Amino acid sequence: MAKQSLVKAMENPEKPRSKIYALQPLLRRLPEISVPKRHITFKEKFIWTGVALIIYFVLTQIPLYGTPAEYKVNDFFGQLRYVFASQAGSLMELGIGPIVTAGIILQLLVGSKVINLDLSDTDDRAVFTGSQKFVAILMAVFEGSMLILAPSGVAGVPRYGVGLGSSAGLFILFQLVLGAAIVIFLDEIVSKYGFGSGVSLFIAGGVCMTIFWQAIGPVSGVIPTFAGNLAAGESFVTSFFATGPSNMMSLVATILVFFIVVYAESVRVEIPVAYGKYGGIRGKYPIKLLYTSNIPVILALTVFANLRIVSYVTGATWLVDYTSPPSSLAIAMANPLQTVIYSLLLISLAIGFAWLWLQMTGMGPRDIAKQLDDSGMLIPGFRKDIRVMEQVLRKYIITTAIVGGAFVGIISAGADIMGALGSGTGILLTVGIIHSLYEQIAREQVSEMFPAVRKIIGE
Amino acid sequence: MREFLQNCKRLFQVAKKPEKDEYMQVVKISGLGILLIGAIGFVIMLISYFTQFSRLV
Repeated sequence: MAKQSLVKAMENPEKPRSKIYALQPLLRRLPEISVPKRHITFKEKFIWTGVALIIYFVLTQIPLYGTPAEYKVNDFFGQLRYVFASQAGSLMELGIGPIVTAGIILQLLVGSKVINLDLSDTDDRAVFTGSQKFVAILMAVFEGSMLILAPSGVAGVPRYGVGLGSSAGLFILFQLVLGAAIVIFLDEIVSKYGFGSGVSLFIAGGVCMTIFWQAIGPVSGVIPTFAGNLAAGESFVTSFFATGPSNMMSLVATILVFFIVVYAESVRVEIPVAYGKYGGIRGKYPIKLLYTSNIPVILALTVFANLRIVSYVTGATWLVDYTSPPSSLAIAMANPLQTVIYSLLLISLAIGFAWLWLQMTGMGPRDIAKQLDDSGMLIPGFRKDIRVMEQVLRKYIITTAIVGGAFVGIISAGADIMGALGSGTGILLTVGIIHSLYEQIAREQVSEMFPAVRKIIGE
Repeated sequence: MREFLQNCKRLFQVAKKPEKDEYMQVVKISGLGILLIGAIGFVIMLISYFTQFSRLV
C-alpha cells in the first residue's frame, strides 16, 4: 500500500495530496472488513445478505439498557425513522443516520473541493471510505449525546431519564454508539460480500417490517382492529375510518402509493444514440425518471432530522413543526400551514439535492457525454462534438432530475398526509431498493450460470 | 423558467412509459420482495413480542 502510493506520487508529482491524508495513520487503525480475495459465489452473497438482514432485525428488538419504559413519549424522529432504519428505544435508535450524515458531509466537502480527493483513484477512495467511517462514529457520538440531552416532554427530565453527567447516561451513549458501529460493519459486509449495500437493505427491512406489523400485528394492527370493530357490531364505514394512529384507509393509501411508485420507477427518458462507426448502429441511452431520486430524499430528510435534534436541544420547537410530516389526514387538515410549509420545504430540498447529487457523483451531463464519446457514440442529428453532446444531455438530464426530485417530494409528502404505513418516503425507497436489488441479483445470476459472461463484464 | 417548462413538456412527450407487462413484472418483483423481507422481520418481531424479550434484558 505504502509502496504503491509512493509510486503514484512519483508518477504525478504535480498533484498535491489532500490534507485529509494526515488522518491516514488513524484511519488505518480503524477495523475494516477485508476485501474478498476470491470470487464470492451467488449463494454466499445470498447468505451474507440474509444474515445481515436478520442481525439487523434482531438488533431492532434489543432495548437500550437503562432507559425508562416511557422513553417513547417524545419520539421526535417520528416518520423519519423509516428512512433511517431506526427503531425507537432499541440499539438501532440511531439506525443508519450516522453513516448517511457522514456520507453527506464528505460528499459535500469533496464535491466542493474543500477536500481534494479524486474518487476514481484507489488510494483517494480508500481515504474517503476510511474518513467516512471515522466521521460516522463522530456523528453517532454527537447524535447520541443530543438524544440523551433532549427533553422528555416532562419538564426538567431528559429523554432517557438520565443526563450525560451520570454513568447511566454515559452507558446509554455507549450503547447508541455501539449500535451505530455494528451497522457500519454490517453495511461493509453487505457491500463487500452481499448484494447492494447494507444501508439500503436496512431501510427496506425496517419499512417492510413496519408495514407488516402495523397491518397485521397483534398490537393495534390495522386488519385485526378492523375485524374486531366489525365483530363488535360497528358499521363498515366507522370501522374503516376508525380513529387511532392508523386505520384501513392507511392500508389503502399504502397500496395506492405502492402502485404509483412502481409506475414511476419504470418511466424512463430514452435519448437516441448512434455509433459513429459500424454504419451508425442506433441505440438508446435510457435515463430513469427517478434517476437520482432516492438519495436526494434521504439527504433532505437527514437535514430535517439533524435540524430537529438541534431544535429540540435548543428549544426552538417551531422548527420541529415545519420539518415533521403530519401523520394523518385529520392532523394535516387541522394544521394547513404546517402541512404546506413541510411539503414545500421537502420538495425544494429534494430538487436541490437531486441537482447537487448529479454534479457530485459523476452522473452529470459532462460525465455522461464523456462516457458516450469514449465509447464512440454520438447523438444523431448533432455534431460529433463532446460539448454539443453535453449541451443536449444537459437539457434532458437536469430536467429529468428536477422533475424526478419534485415527484419524489410530492409522493413523499402526499403519502405521509394520507397516513400510508411505513411512510410515503419509506415505500418509495423500498420499491427502488428492492427493484435495484433484483436487477443486481438477476445480473449476477446470469454471470454465475455463464462464466464467460463474467469474463466479459471483467470481474 | 419558461424554457424549463418547455423542457419538461418535451420530457413528458419523449418519456417512455412502461408497457403493461413490464409494469406488472415490477409490481410482482417489488411486491414479492416486500412480502419476503417483511415476513422475516414480522416473525422476528412476533417472537420478540411473545417472549417479552425486552423485559428479559
